[in-house]
Formats: sequence, C-alpha cells, structure tokens
Amino acid sequence: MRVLEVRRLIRNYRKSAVKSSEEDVKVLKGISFKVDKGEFVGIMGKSGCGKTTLLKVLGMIDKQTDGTIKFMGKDTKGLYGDQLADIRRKQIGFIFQDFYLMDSLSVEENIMLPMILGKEKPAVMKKRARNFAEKFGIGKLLNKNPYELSGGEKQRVAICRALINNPDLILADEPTGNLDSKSGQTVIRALNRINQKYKKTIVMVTHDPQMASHCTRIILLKDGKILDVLKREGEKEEFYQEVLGRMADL
Amino acid sequence: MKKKREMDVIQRRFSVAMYLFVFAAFFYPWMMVGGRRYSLFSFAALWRREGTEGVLELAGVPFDEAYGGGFQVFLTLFLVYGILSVFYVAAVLLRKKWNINYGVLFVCVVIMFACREEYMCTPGKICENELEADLFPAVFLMGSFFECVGRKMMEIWDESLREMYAYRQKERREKAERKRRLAFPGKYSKLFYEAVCKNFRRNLKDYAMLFFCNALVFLVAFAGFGLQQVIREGDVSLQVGYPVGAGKILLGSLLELGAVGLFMLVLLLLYYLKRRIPEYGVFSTLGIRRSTMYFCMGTEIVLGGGLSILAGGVCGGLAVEILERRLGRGAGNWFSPWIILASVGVIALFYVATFFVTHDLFVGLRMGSSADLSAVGEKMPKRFHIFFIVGGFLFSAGALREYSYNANYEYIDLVIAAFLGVYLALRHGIAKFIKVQKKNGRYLSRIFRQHSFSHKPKSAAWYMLGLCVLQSCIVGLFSVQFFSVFLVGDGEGLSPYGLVCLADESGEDAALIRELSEAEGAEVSAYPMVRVIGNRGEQPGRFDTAKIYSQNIGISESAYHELKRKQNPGYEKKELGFDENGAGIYIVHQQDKSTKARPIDYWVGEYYVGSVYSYSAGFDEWGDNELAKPFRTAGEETSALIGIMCQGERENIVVFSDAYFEKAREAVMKLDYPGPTKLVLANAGEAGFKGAEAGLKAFKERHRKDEEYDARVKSYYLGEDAQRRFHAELNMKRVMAEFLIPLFFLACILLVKIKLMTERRANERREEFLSCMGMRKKERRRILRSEMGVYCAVTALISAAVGAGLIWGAFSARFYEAADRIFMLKRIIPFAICEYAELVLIIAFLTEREIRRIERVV
Repeated sequence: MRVLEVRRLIRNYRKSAVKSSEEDVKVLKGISFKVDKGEFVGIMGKSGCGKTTLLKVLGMIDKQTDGTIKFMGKDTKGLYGDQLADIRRKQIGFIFQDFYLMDSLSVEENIMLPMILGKEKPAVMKKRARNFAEKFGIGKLLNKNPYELSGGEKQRVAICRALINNPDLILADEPTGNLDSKSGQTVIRALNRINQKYKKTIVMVTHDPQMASHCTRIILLKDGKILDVLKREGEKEEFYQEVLGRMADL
Repeated sequence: MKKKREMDVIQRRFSVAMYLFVFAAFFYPWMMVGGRRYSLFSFAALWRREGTEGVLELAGVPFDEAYGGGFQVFLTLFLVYGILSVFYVAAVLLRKKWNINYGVLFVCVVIMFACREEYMCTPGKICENELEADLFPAVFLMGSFFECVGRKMMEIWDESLREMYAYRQKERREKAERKRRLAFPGKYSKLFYEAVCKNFRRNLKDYAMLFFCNALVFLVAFAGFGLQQVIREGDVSLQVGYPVGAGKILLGSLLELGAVGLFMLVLLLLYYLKRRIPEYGVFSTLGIRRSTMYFCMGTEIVLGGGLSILAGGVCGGLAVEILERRLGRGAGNWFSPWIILASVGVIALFYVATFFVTHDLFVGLRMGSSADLSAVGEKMPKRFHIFFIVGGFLFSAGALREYSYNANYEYIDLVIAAFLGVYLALRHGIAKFIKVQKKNGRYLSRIFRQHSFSHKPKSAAWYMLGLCVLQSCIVGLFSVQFFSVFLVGDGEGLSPYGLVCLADESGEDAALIRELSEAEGAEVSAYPMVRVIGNRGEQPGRFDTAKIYSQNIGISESAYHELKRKQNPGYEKKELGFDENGAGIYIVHQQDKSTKARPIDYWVGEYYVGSVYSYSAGFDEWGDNELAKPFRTAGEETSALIGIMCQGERENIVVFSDAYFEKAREAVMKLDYPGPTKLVLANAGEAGFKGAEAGLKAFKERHRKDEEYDARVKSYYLGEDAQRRFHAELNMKRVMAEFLIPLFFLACILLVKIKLMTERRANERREEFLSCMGMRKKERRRILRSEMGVYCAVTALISAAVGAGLIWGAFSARFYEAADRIFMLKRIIPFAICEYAELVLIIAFLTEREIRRIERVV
C-alpha cells in the first residue's frame, strides 16, 4: 500500500508578499518519490538543501507551491486549515530534533497529547500511554516533567507520543541530532523497532550516515532536487559504507 | 610569637581595666531614697536592716508586697553579676581563656530588662532620682559589652588586616587582568553602534511601555506638587502635611497613586530586565568593554528618562491647570522650578526603591539565568484546600466586618488583611479546582484552557489578586469617595450657627454674650458643657504622658434634644441608649457625609471627662472617680448638631444622661483648670459678626490656654470659615477621585497587558506546537480566550464581593441612613457595571490582538 506519493513538488519562499517573482527563494525544485507502507526512508543532504522544508510539506505543516502530494492515496492540495490539522493529528506522528515536548505537562500528558486533542476517553488514553511508556523503558517517568529528563528519555517520550494515535506515517526530523551517541543509539533502536514490529512507515531526515544506515532507502537531496536514491540490499555495515561514500560526493 | 604575647598582655590589661571600672560602679551611690544616696551595697544593707516596709516608708511609697520580691530578684541578679565578674577577672589574671565575660554580659542584659519592665518592682521605681536609678544598670552593661567587643576586636584585628590586604591585592590583580583581556585599541566602529541601536529598536515597544509608566509616575508627582502650590495660599488646614483638610485628602490620594505607580514600575522593570539582560549578556560575553556597555545602558535610561520626564511634566502641567479650574480657583501662577526639582526627586526615590525591589526579585527568581526557568512549573499547594479556602474567605469577611466599625474604618491593615484572605482563597481555590478536575476526568479535556492555572498557579494567583485589588479599589473605595460628595450637595445646614463659642463662667465671657445679643442683634443660646477628651488609652505612668488625640464638647441629654429640636422643629425625642443608671455616652460625629468616618480616638475610642491639663497630670487627681474611667458608647450618629468644625476629628458632641452630666460638671468645676464650661451658639443677620471682632479677639486672648495644647482646637469658631474649608475639601475629594479612578483603571489594563507580554514567547511556542500536533485553529484561539475569560470573570466576581464589603463598611461606619444608602447605590451600581463592561471589552480587545499576534508565528 502506498503511503506517500510525491510528484514534482515545488516550494518557493516569496520575497514579496504580493506576487511571485524571479527573486523568490526556490527551496524544493520539483521532487518526486513514493513511500510504501512499512518502509523506513531516510532523507539526507547538506545543510540548506531543503530536507526540513520537505519534511514540513510532507507533514502538512507547510503548503507546497506546486506539485502534488498524495497521502494514503488522497491528494492533499485541496485541503486547508482544519482538514490538514485533522490528518496531522490522526494519521501522522512527529518526532523532532529538539523533542518539542511541553515542559508544563507531565510525561504522561505529553504522550497522550494527540489523543487529548482527539478528545478520547481519559481511561483509554492513560492505558495506551502507560503501555507505550513501558515498551520504551520510560514507564517510571510518567509523572515527571520533561525538564527533569535526559535527552534520550525526552526523545523516547516524543516517540511514544508519535505512536499513540497509531498513525500511518511517522516523520522524524533529525531525531538524534541533539543527543550523544549512546542516547542516539537507543533512539534509533526504538525507531527500528517501530518500523519492524509495528510495521510503521517512517520518513527520517538525518545528517548522520550511521543513523541513515538503519533505513531501507535513502533519498539524497542537493539544492532542492533529488540527487540519488540509495537502497539497502546487503548488510547494514555495507550500506553504511555506501552512504558514507555518497555523502562525501555531496 | 612575640607579637602574640604582646597582644595577650594588652588584652589582659584592657579586660582588667574595664572590670575595675565595673567594680567601681558597684560602689557609686546611684539610688536616692529618703533624701540619701545609696550604692548597691548600702541599699542591700538598708533593706536587710529596715525590711521592705521600712524602705518603702523611707521612700514615701505605700506598702506593696511585690517590692520585697522585686528587690530580692534585683539584688540577687547583681550578686550573680558581681561574682561572675570576679571570677572572670581572676581567670584573666591567671591567663585562663575562659569566656565567662559572655555570661557576665548575659546577666547584665537580664538586669537591664528587669529594670525596664513596668511591673517589676525594682528599687528604681521607688527612688527619687527615678531616671538615674532605672538606668544605672546600663553603665554595667556598657562596661561588660565594650570589654567583650574590644577583646574580640583585638583578637581579629591582625587577621582582618591581613585578609583585607590580600583581598585588595586580589582585586587589583583581577582588575589588571580584566583590563588586559578586554584591551581594545581605539574606538568601536560605527557598525558596532549600529548593531546596538538595531538591538535597541527591536525592543522599542517594551521600552516605550516602561517609560510610559515612568511618565505616568512623574505626571502624578508633578501634578501633586502643582496642586500643593495651588492650595498653598490661604488657610493652613488646606495645606499638604496638615493633619486635616483638603491638603490631607490630596496627600492621601497621592500616596495611593504612588503605591500603584511603584507596583507598575516594578512589574515593568522586571519584564524589561528579563528581556534586556540576556541581550546585553551576549555583548558582555563577546568582550565588550564594561564602560561601553554601561554607556549604552545609561544612554537608554537617560534618554528615556528625560523624554518621560518631559512628557510627564507637560501632561502633569495640563492636569494641574484642569484640576485648578475644577477646584474653582481659576488660573493661577502655581509653577515654580521647585516643583520640577521635587518631582525629579520623587521619581529618583521611586527608582531607587524600584531597583531595590526589582533587584531582589530578579536575583531571587533567577530571571537573569541562562536556563529557561519559565519551563519549570510553580508549586501547587497540596493539602488543606478547603481549610484555606474557607479560612481565607472568613478572614476577608472578618477583616471587612471589622472595617465596617467606626473605630476601625480607614484602617489600611484591615483592607490588606481582606486581600490576604482573598489571596489564600485564590491560591487554594486554583489548587482545589485543578484537583477536582483531575479527579472527575475533565482535566485532560481542558488541559490547555487551564494550562496557566495548573502550570503557574502562583503567578496566576498573584495576577488575579493584582486585578482584584485594583478593581475593588475603584468599585469599593473611590466610587464611594466620589459619589458621597454628591450626597452632601451644597452643604446647606452643615454650619447651622454663625458663631460657636466655648466660654467659661467668668464675667467677661458673660459680657461678650450680652454684647452679641444686644449690640449685634444675634440670636444667642448657651448650654452648660464639659470638655471630653479622647486619648489613646495608655495608662499615664511615671515616664509616659497620656497622648490626647481630641477635645470634644460634652453636653447633657436635654441640651441634645433641644439642639435637635432647633434644627428640626418636628424632631421627636428618641432614646439615646443610656442604661437605667444613666451610664454611657452618645456620640455625635460632627462631620459631613462624604468624610471618611473617624472616631474621636483613632484606635480605641476611649473618652474621659476633664481638660487636657487635668488629664495629662495623671489620674491621681481623680482618684477612684467613675468619671476617670472610659465610658461605654451607648450610641452614635453623624450629623452637624452645632456645626462641622474639625470634620469629626475634634469638637464632636458627647452626650451624657442628665444625671451623669451633673456629676461630671460638678467634678470638673473642682479642677484647678476646668476648661470651657459654657457652649454659646449664636446666629447673626447678614452683617455677620464683624462688629464683634474686638470682643472676640479679647475672648481669644482670655482663652489662650484652651488653644495651647492643640492648634486645631479653638476657643471660638466662625461658621463662614468652616463653610469655606468644607467646600475646598469637597472639591478636592471629587477632583482626586476623578483622578484616581481612571489611573487605577489604566493600571488594570497595564497589568493585563504586561501579563500578555510576559507570556507571549511561551504562547507563541505553544501555538506552533499545537498547530503541528493537529489542533484546530478555533480550539487554539479558545485557549487564550478562555484563560483571559476566567481571569476576567473570577476577578470581577471577587472584586465585586470585596467592593460590596468595602461599600457596606463605609455605609456602616459613616452611619448612613436608608435614604443615603439608596442614593449612593443608585449611582455606584451603574458605575460599577460600566467599569466592568469597559474592562471586559478592553481585555477582550487586547486578547484578540494577542491571539492574532501569536498566530503570525504559525
């Protein structure tokens, strides 16, 4: 089943608020790719190549200038405001580099957040939050506040939050970018588990070839265009070497 | 080592010298009994020989057993002191380092306290040289104290010098190192200053807000001093600083304004520092010269301060011109450079106070810390919510109830206590509300709408309290002050007599009365009276003189009814509440209905018959006379029975039953100086009492003694003087209320604005996050709307309740009758509704603007 189908995706940032011009900043210049269910896709590229913009457009936080995005077979171009918000809430889970947890809420409340927004029953929410927290080793931290946790723990809270609504797609923006290597490994293991055990589709933006080598496919971006697509066919170590080589070319 | 030995010797010599002084003091005859002086030893010998009874007889003091115990304790303590002193000196001479001197000092402090204790019958209480005899233990105390301090100082002197030298060296080194590190050849480039300016422009709006408040405070100071100049000319009682009259009203209002101004400045400065310090911190980290940084900050402050002073001065000048016309004085030459200097002085003082408070808060709350402490939640009270909510409510209600009594009215501590109760109820009310929500499962569905209450409950309670205080003051205090002026109207009937004379039984006074009625054609009536004084209730002891707060006019019940009948021919005699023996007093507070009720005696309301001279001499003259005991108040009213002369603070009417009045008058007439005993009331025709000026002057000269104790108490009062002062006061009250109400309203709006500004960054982050998480726009908008809605509703409800309490308090304390109450409520209620509606509209507008601003980040 196809989760995402992106065709000739263009995203420009206007210099003038009134009309488009040649001086507009062209961030994405006609990108096309597809993501099937259960895939773990990585997006790599140098800083400023449009990785985060692409993720934002895929996550419907930002609108494309042109091109189409079909999410679960449905074109999102004609959707606006609350319709997009509903899709984000129900069908997409987000994991960010700086965790994006609400410091004023407890860990449990942060995990339940998408369900709270969906006005689910408290008992159901609590049960699911506890369930996920136990699975990712943060069961004892449910009553704490995010500012009391380490970076790795915060990111696992964000993963639980991304999973709680059982989304069709998980978008991760450099999930290990703010973590040390040990915490990064824990997080990437968790993402692998989501992908393999829960069969979730993941699109992850990363700089780190080590993290990228866990993906099944990597889209390499350069100056707003797809430079190459790498598929993992052999062992992880081989794939890592391949990614490392291609990154040097960038 | 040698040096140490030398120091030991000096210390020993010092201690021995000091204690030789102390021992000498034991032999000095400090106490004089029966014309002879006694040292401690000789007094002890006298007591042993003569016994307590004999000593008291010698001193001419009636026998009291308590003195026996008192002498024993006193002499035993001195014995302990002496023994310890001897031990200490012996230890010093034997080079033992026993710190007995601290014990000696302690015993001496105990002796000192024992001698100062009123109920302790020490020898000092019976000596003829009472002051010397009571205070001589201080000589021993000083000897022991200086010995301890001097010894300690010698011990640490060398060490302190060494430390100071080392510290100075270290500081010098650090300064040199800093100078070297931050050495910067030449001047900073233009680009650098452009960057500083750009940074400044970015915060221009916050900066403007701070200096708007600064201008507001300057405006208030400037207008206050200007008004003082306006009312300076003429009657002394109109001047600021005079304890009654228009000047006092102005001063009171300015103090209220000053308190709000300080509050707003602290709040804004905190916000401003929170924003600016991290930005200057960046410059500092990058190595900007400290002098340059101070220059930039100083320029900001001086520039803004100068502009705000200019703006505040211009607006203040305009305000004075307007208020001057409102006071009915026409345009005058009130301006002088002194006003600017004084206003700048006030604002400088304000800034010093503000910086102290702000600095403490800033450091205490770690606002300058690089860590994002806004993320850290505030503590929620965990237990006893119901107890504190009910307690807070009862506390407020109790404080307001106390406030409604005439004796406690205007007592600011009670208003503060009422708000303290509100704070307790708010703090625990929020906690209880969140707890209940969590229990019944509604918490999660409303988690964002109640976010500020669950995350920052303490700040929420403070903001709410601030809004409650400001709104309650508008609705419950200033509205009463404003509308009660209309209740008085033009003040007709408040000075029913053209002349009120407090005469005595002398022939000269009788002649004046005759002259008034015959030559001036005045209608004259006279009533017997006695002086009734109100004091603070202190028992006049040997060292205390009773503080007399007021002098009033005591008349009989029959005179009261007669005067009432004169005012209102249809008056029907009413019971004044005296008991069956005729005991008790009925007080007529002679003040207009717009005056804040004030009892004769501000604190305890105790009244005594007799002139100030008889009273301040002590009770001895009265002995066990029942008239020397405070009277029970049988009833009170507010009216102008003979005319408003001192607005309820002095010259009120104290009515006795006829039987008691006779007794009082009889007793008073026996005094060396009984004071005025005849109340003369006169009304002349159109010409007034101009023809009697010479007679009144002579009268005043004869009764000079009556005016000596208190400048506000006169021997006679002219109705037209009272009218003039009274109209000036009414105008001042109205004008100040017109000034205070909008300023407090503005403070309310500023408080809401500051709340929104302070939380903007957190709200923007929340908006961005929730949008990303898929929350609908409508729901996101509802978060801030609902939060501000709760603020509005809760504070409006509480302030309406507290305001109602304050209004009820004012009505009760001022003895308003039903018609007066209806008159006032008919005006206050619509005013309060309009005030709340305006505030709600403005808060709604500010909230909507803030929502739009926050939405821009998404």
